[in-house]
Amino acid sequence: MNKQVICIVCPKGCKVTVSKQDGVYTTTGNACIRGNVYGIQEATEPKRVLTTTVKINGASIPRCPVVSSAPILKDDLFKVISLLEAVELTAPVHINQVICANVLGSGIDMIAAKTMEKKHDL
Amino acid sequence: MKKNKIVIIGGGSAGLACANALRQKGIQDILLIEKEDELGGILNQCIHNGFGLHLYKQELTGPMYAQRNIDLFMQLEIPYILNATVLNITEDKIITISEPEGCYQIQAEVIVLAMGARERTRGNIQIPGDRCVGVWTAGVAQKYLNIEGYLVGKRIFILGSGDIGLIMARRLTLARAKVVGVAEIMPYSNGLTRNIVQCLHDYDIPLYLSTTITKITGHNRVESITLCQVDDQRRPMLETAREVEVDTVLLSVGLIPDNVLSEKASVEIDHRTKGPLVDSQLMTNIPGVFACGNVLHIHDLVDHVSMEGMLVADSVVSYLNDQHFVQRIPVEAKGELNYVLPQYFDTNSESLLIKYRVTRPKSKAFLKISSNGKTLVKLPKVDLHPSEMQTFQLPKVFLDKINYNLVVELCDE
Repeated sequence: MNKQVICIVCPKGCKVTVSKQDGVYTTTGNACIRGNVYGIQEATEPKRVLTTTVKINGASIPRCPVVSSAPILKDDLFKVISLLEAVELTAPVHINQVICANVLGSGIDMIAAKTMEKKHDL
Repeated sequence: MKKNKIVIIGGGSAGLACANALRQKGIQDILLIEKEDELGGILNQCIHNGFGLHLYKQELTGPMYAQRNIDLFMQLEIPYILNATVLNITEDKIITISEPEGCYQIQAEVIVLAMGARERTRGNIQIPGDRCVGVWTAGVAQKYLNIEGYLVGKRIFILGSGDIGLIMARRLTLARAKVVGVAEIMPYSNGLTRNIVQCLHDYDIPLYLSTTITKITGHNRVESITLCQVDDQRRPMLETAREVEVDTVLLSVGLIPDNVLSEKASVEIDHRTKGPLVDSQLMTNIPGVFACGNVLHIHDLVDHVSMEGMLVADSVVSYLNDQHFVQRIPVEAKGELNYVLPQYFDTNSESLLIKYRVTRPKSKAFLKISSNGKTLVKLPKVDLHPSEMQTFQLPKVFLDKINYNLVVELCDE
């Protein structure tokens, strides 16, 4: 197995080649050890922190920003988006409040990234 | 007339950091003025993560980074006004303000300019073609989507590879729009590598370098664009023209510091940074008027914006303690540098933080700092990129050796 990965750990942007031989992963093209760790993770099980918004009622704006509590498997991102499209919150919501627990059984929660108070009627 | 010791114009990351730091230094009489109906500025619409790595040693989303600053601001009980537009400021530091309670003037002792930046628009870059609906700046599209929940189009092309454009390419894809591609007129990307990888490569969105839009076509709504490769003088090569069907064009073609107000107060503007000319205390040519954040120069990291706000807080305290900044020594940029900040060193400063940007990507170079013909420091630098602001704290031992001028130069050897 040979896989090309651009390292994003620092601004240098090394082009890292990840190879697998006899069950062992090796990297070439990385200038430092961080590129080795990143390259193998990225080539074998890429993950991303997911940020998006969900609908909220009763707040001063109609969307509440949310973020995953940890990086999610890249292949699962759109599945989580689909889950969140069905979510509807009601203000107030507090920062770090769990919006969607244990998404896809991953142990990762989607949490609110903003405190949103109930809108006071004028 | 109402009087305030310190008036901060702008409640984004620069203004909040400055206000919080001033109050923590024991300054009581502060007033912060914000034009929107909430504090936090542009961070509120930047829902992606990656903020705060330098200042908080963790990756926060924009709203989370803002919330930290807002929570501290509220805890410190600093006075502020929302939905307030500053109409004018004068050299004498009289501020004219229009807010829901009315229109009035405030006499300030110190003004901190923290108004941020504006996006360059289609008018700024003059794309020919029809004047149809569907051409937006990336930041406006971001606000519509992330704050209002309104998606600007279904088939979208993005011009400019700045970070906002790249972030929006991913965001729009997750919002189930089709991002057809991103074009960049320069032969290299203007965004951070991590954004190229995580926003474009992750979703197979093509990036066309040395390419621009030469025409937008559409009757009521955008129907298509004409893409053209450019030569090394950035002139479109018409034989490469091709039409691409899209319903929306997003522009991510740079930010301009918002200095409409500064200029009314006769604050001198640097033609390179498009922000005020400042000394090492970040004070403008008008004594008692300071600038920080994107109004001073465009930043790529919010952490640096906050730090600049805190630096201004230090300077304001020195200014109020009647430390007169008398001698200003010019700081000049030489070699392949787009700009250097500050533009002046004032001899009473106890530190000098130099900020600079290169004109083109450089894998190896030397940063040379000299004064009156004598080299003070020469440092090897690697992997410099125009999209990444560099900083250098000049060691204190050299401050006494600065006289006549200070030259910051990027050289090859």
